[in-house]
Amino acid sequence: MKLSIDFICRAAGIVMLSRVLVLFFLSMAVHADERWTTEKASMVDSIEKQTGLSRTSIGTLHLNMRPIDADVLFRKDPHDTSSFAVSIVDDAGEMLKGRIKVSGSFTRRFPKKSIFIKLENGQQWKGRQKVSLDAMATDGSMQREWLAWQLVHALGMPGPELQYVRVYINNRYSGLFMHTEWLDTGVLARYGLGADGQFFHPSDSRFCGDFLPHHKKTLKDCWFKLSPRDKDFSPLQALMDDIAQTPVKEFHEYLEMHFDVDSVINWLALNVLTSNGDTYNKNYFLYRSAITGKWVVIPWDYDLSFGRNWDAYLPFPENILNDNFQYFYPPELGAPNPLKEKTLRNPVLNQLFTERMLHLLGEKRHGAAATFGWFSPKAMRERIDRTAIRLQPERIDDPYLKDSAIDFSQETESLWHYVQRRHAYLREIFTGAVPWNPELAIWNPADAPPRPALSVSLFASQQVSANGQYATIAAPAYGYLLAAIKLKDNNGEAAKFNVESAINHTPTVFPPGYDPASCIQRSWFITLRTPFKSRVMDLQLDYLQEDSQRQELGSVRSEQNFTLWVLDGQRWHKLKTHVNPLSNVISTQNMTIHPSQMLRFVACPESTES
Amino acid sequence: MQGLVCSTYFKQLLFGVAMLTCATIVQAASPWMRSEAERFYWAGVTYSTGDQRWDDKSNQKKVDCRNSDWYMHQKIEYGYSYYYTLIAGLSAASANCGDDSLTGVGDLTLGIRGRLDKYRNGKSWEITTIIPTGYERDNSSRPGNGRFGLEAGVAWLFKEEERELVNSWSWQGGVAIRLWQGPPADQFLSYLSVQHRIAAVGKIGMRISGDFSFRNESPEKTKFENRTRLTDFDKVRAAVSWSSRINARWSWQANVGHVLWGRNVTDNLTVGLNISHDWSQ
Repeated sequence: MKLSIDFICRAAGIVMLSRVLVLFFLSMAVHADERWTTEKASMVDSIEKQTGLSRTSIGTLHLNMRPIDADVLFRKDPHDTSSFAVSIVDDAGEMLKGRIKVSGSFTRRFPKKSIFIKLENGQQWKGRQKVSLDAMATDGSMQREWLAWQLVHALGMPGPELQYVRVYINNRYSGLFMHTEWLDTGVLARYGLGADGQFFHPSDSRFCGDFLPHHKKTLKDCWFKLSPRDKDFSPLQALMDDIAQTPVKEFHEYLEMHFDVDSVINWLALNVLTSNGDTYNKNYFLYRSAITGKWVVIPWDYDLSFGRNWDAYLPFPENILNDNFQYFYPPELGAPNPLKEKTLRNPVLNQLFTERMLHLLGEKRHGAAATFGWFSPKAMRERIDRTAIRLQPERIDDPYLKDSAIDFSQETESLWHYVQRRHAYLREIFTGAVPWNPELAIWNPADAPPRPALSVSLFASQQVSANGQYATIAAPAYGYLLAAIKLKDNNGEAAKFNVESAINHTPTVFPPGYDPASCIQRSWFITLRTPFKSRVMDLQLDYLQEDSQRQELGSVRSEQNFTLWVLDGQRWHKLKTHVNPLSNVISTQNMTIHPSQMLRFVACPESTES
Repeated sequence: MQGLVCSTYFKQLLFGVAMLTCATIVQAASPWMRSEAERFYWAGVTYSTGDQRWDDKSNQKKVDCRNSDWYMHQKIEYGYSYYYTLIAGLSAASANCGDDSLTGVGDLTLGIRGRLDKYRNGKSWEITTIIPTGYERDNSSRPGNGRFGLEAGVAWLFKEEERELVNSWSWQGGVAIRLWQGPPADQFLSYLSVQHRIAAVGKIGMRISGDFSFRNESPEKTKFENRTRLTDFDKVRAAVSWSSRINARWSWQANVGHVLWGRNVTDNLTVGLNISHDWSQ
């Protein structure tokens, strides 16, 4: 008995001690987070002072040109590379002389073109001789690059500063642009990497900056050496050989020795979160710091991300410019690249990557508080809405956007829909609910045969909290979102729903007078499984338009005309419907559902109603 | 002795290379404007032969020798600015017919091309000066025209958007007036061509050109067909061509052409091979 009391006392002591220790470490972590946040704020201030670029305000840039040059600049033949004399009027009213030309490759065909200004030697604006202004022409939301770079900066990765700027040419408003700091070794030096390292960039037009062994012979065609300006590609050659020769199981040791591992993990995480498939063979930079002796990856170009999808079955330029949408490509998406694949397959690096993903998704903390849940729907919603509010008035006066067919609110909403869905999909992947085998991590849709059409019924059952937020209901083992439900009756009680989708099927039951072939080739079924109380909900239902082959649009392609119908067991009811054709989401609000009632939904075009 | 042989051989080689890379503007105005600082180089060699001639009443007549003429041309174009493209060309010839022969550097051409449409490429004006080089200007067997000339013209190009793996068409045309200092007759030059791009394989083309004299001066005495440009002559010629890319910057073109109708001109068959290098790709 005495022994037992002694044992209990000792055990209680250990428990107390462990609690004290836990509290101590927690408080240390909190202090560390506060310190990190303070340091972060001070770093942002310092960067704004150094670069003159603000992350929070919209700047103004006044340019002076000959009237004929200004007239021609945006209207000339897209492939002409001529430059024109220009002056930047700086804050003191001084004229900084230089040359201006249209920049970019694919985006040159848009009416609003990105521009590049090189000032004469000795002249600088905001501390830079080169000024790059991105027209964001391929991104109707004008936020994709912005959001991606905000994450880059939040993660502490080296990268250029950005600022939205109003550009005036000869005092006439020429639109809102993104001033992207010219990426050179000066930027990298700001991150403590020195300015005398080896700086490489894959060629944008060759699609071979990927370390694949068969591109070894064409290394100098596949890459540009940006600094120093010599012909020495031996560092890159050695890197390519090392990556090829290092076995997967030792790849973490190799990466630790020769790379800034965080930059690789963060690069992959950024591409996975934004679903950026337009990379790994181009659209990134590699820098080997002379100070650290290690390679650093700097991401680039995120305008075709956040759900945008390349279409292998359409000719140029429709293969790039389309309203396809996807959020369900696995983490290996993007061109084949052994650096990516070996990182994903190596157990140590994969663990690191998984932890980074869970951290950014807000599922489990593995890093600084400021980035925990950075990609959570709530945080992203705030970020997107805040930026949209800033951009909306600018667009009204933008001469290239005010009369365009782009629906800004639709574009913004599709970003938000993407985040909701991508978050749900990745959460399933990284919590293990959807199987993902990094051993199979090779992704090359261009070489892949067309995948079989989905012709299955997907089912999910889920508890939905009454927290005023949309709950995403994804099909287990697939990750496809079936529906998102927000409970509207604020009684605080959660409710359980069964959701089923008959995918890629012509509706077998449909409203009278409609041609089912013209309806979206999917039916949705929602059942309230919680007894006793009817519930009121807002509802988002998804359909598929991954590309021109894998889609459920039926014979009518004008998505704006679709109206949602519900069969309550007895009669069809037409619902007030909102369609977002960019994200392929059909929404309705204030839908009442009774316990055990199964509602059947179909979406058919207005014009075919007889 | 060996040194002399080497020296002679070296000079011949140098001359051969020079000939191969010499060029002149062989058509009326070209429609394509170069971007600022863009460089374009074109070199071609043509072989012409024939033993008939269109006389001054446009009747075909047999001549007493078959001519065998090699013409070499080269030109460079440089985008001075968005609005102006500078042009320079040089020609050379090596020709013989019976006992007559000639070899030498022909005329230098210097010109400027400008935009007729400030927004779109493919519509341009062009002014070119033709400058004789050091050959004897009154020699009836001379490699150039022998007079200072001024050529002014306009040209246009309409082409469908070129995409990889997609067939497309393009049409091109141009007219020019060539004025000479001195007695030769002034001329009106024109051409019309059509090209069909067969996806990434190459381009097949057809071209018809018409050179007509204003007959405001008497014909000059010349022994070789191409020197008749200074004379009172008319010529309608057709050619077909095939062109293809060697790589991103280099292209080649082969063409075969024949005079369809003429006056005071040799009835020649012409075979040509050109290469070009475009720094803009």
